[in-house]
Amino acid sequence: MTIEAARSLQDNDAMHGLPRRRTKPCATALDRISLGVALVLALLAVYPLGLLVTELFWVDGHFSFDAIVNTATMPGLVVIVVDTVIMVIACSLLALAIAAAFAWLNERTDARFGFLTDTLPLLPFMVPPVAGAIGWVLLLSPRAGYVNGIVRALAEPFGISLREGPFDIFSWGGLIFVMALYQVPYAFLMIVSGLRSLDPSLEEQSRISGAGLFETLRRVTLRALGPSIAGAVLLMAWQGFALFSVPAIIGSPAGIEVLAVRIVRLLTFSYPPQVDVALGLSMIVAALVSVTWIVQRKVIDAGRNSAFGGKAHNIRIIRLGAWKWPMRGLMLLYIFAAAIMPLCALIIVSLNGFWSLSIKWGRLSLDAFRTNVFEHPITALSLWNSIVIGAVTATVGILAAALISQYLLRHRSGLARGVDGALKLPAVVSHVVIGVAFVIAFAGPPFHLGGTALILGMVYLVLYLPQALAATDAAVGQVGVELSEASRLAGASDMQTFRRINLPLILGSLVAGWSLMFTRVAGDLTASALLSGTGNPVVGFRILEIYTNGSFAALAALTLVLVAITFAIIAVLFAWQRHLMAWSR
Amino acid sequence: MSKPLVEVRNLSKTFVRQGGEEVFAVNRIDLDVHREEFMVLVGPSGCGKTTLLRCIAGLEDPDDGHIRVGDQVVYDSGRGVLVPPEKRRISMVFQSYALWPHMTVYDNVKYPLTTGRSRIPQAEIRERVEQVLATVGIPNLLEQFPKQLSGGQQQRVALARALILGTDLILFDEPLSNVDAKVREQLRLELLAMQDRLGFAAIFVTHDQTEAMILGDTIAVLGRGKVAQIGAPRDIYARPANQYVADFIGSANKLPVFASAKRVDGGGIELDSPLGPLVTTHEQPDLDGDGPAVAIWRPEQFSISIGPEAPQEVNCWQGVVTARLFLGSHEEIIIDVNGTQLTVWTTEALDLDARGQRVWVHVDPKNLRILNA
Repeated sequence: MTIEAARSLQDNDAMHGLPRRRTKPCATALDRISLGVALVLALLAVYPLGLLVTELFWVDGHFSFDAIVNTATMPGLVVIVVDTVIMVIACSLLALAIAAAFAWLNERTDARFGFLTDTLPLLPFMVPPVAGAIGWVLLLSPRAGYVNGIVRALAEPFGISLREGPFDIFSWGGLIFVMALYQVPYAFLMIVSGLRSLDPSLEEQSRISGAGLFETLRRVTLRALGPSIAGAVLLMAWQGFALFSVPAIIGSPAGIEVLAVRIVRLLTFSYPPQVDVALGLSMIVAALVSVTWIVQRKVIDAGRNSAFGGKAHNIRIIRLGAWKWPMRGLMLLYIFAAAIMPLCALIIVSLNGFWSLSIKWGRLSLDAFRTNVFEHPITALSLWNSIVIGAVTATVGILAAALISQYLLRHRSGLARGVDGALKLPAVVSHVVIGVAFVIAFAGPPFHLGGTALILGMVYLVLYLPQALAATDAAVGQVGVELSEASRLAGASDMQTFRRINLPLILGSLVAGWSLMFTRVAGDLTASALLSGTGNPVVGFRILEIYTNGSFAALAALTLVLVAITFAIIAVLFAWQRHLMAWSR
Repeated sequence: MSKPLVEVRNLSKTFVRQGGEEVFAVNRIDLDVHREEFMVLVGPSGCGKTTLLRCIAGLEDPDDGHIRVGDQVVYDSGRGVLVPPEKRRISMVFQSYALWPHMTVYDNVKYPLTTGRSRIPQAEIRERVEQVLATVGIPNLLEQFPKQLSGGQQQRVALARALILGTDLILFDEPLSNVDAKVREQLRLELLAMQDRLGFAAIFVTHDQTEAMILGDTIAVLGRGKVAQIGAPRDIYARPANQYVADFIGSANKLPVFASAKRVDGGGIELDSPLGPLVTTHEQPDLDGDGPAVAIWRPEQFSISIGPEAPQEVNCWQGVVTARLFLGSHEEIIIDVNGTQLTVWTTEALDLDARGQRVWVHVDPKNLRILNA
């Protein structure tokens, strides 16, 4: 057989870039464990929903399309769907812009203020959205809001006399603003992680070729950050469609109803609960989120940037000169708005004893905390339960997510894709619907888990695993494959390699993911309302109870204690993680 | 000849392109590597050298064939044997070094000692790591992180990590491609010395034919998934088996020749070419009777002279200088002879214009080889 000249082989040099047919390694112990975990969790996600759908369409022994008909004919359907989409798009774009700007400022310029700007954008993670929403209501409510009160007081001397306002939190602007505030940390984390692992020679190359700062950003950095941005958008879309507390507290009084809120109303405020329409609306949410998911998958598949690729490099910082302090100011302003201001409002109201513009400065006390939280047996128990269940669920969840992401990275079989889909399915379904499904599936016979901590843990796991997976997906994809290969050739099994190489390298993402899950679980409202009770209370359940028939002071007190505890746990974790990831600086 | 350390038989590996077309990355290759032999796999991008290496390492699963390393059959399609990489007694050095960024140099290098079942005492681990780091020339970098090292230092750490277990076979996947030229030369010499002293067998993949000739005891030139020629550097350079090898290893002047060969007085064969008759004293018994053939000779075997008359009677042409390149140790002069570009390497100081001068070029019949095209 003749060998052709070297030059004609150039057309075959795509070999290095050939989409490699995934060689099937023999199933290792790690593979089996990962698949096992994935299957169990997938089953946990799919079974209750399957049961629910079956009970819906199979009425009295025959097929029935009533559910679909009732949904399509629901009054105001189009308005609700449109309002939901507008809200999600607007707040996600706003949050993405803010997060990307902060991430870039923090990672590529000298506006970075050390620990402060590294971790404070993540502060809102520790503030459950319900606390933020209530806080901002306390601040910007047209009549009794503190900020409005201050503005009105300042305007008086100028002859401007207002009865209410000038700001009204109960509006589109207010809704999008508060939603975006709590979306920013998701996007920030993803983009920072992406920036940290980008090879800076890409950007340097662009600058050397003559592109200015903004052109480099646009053409090189943003493109290479594709997967991170796509992951961020997906996370925010999930959060946006599923979130109940903020749209309920701020949107509904403004006359803006979104899908999540309507679904809850159908299940809890109407008797009998209209499960069929609730499910139909959930299908609509599912469709909307699926579109985002498909886009994210495509972006991740197309350009996997091998980040920790085994070659170390240093990053050049851009000096901002006169812009440095204004930029820092902006970042601090965000932190102020997202965390400090609402917390201050909560603190004032709780210390004051009730919500009023006239604050009895001389008689501030911790009474509200004492009577409503620490000495109230149910509330105290709910705090303890939430913390324990939160910690356990987050630990199990994030480790499972890491294992599953690693498995899915290496296996592209039909089974793997199916499991991936099943695990992410709960994200597109409203939390309330999943709660109802769990009640139907597990509360009664044959499992009899109603009212236990286990059923709560299970539902939280199912609810919040998709978000954890989004984060771990991106994280494991950034560890260069040759790092694992070198470990295998040094004699380490798959399991050892995962434990000693892959896990430590994604530890930063794992800790962030843990914190996310913990905060969400501890502050969960909707599923808790359905599955928790006075026998086994959690904080979400108590908050809803107090919101409907308690005082704002009690509400503020409980929320603050929750925030304080979450903050403490996460601060410790982050300090530990910084120490462990010192090698990456 | 003693039994080879590595035996590859009939190895094949295909990839599927976008669109479904199957491509043979490795096409029924046979290869032997002996103890303490430095084998270089060389060829252009896409020739299959890296895939072959990764199949031996266990990082790719072949489709067919048999691989034995030492006493262990690590792959056999017939018997369904596939040993995972961690159970093969092979070390590897990667192109991107693959140092674990979250571990110090010490932890990186000691890692292979900590993966096995047996527990080696810390003191002994420390001693062995220090020893191997001294061997590769970086005794004082134990507590550094990879990020803090230069490219050359990182590659030495990667090499230390590969050496520490004292495996009989070490694989190298273009390890010097990312290192700058002077460091590369230095590392090559050190690698040769180490291999000589420590006595491991090496399979070294590179696309650089100079590097191949410097390092290899044996070179395997690969193309399109097959071995084009295998042998010692000198043999391959002096007696390339075909035009592909002649082109890839070293440089070559080539002219197509036509079948009508006839004997010449004084010994030799005359063949016809676009530049006129060529005479060679080489018999080529394995030449295909009717297939296309090409005459090959090396640039340093090509002489150049200035003057009004042809200096020789045979294999002598007049041409025009189109370029003169100074390479330090020699000069490369490109000459246009009736439309054909030919290259001369010379160490003589010539009184030549850079361009446009008419010169005579001549090659001795004994340096002209005829090969299959």
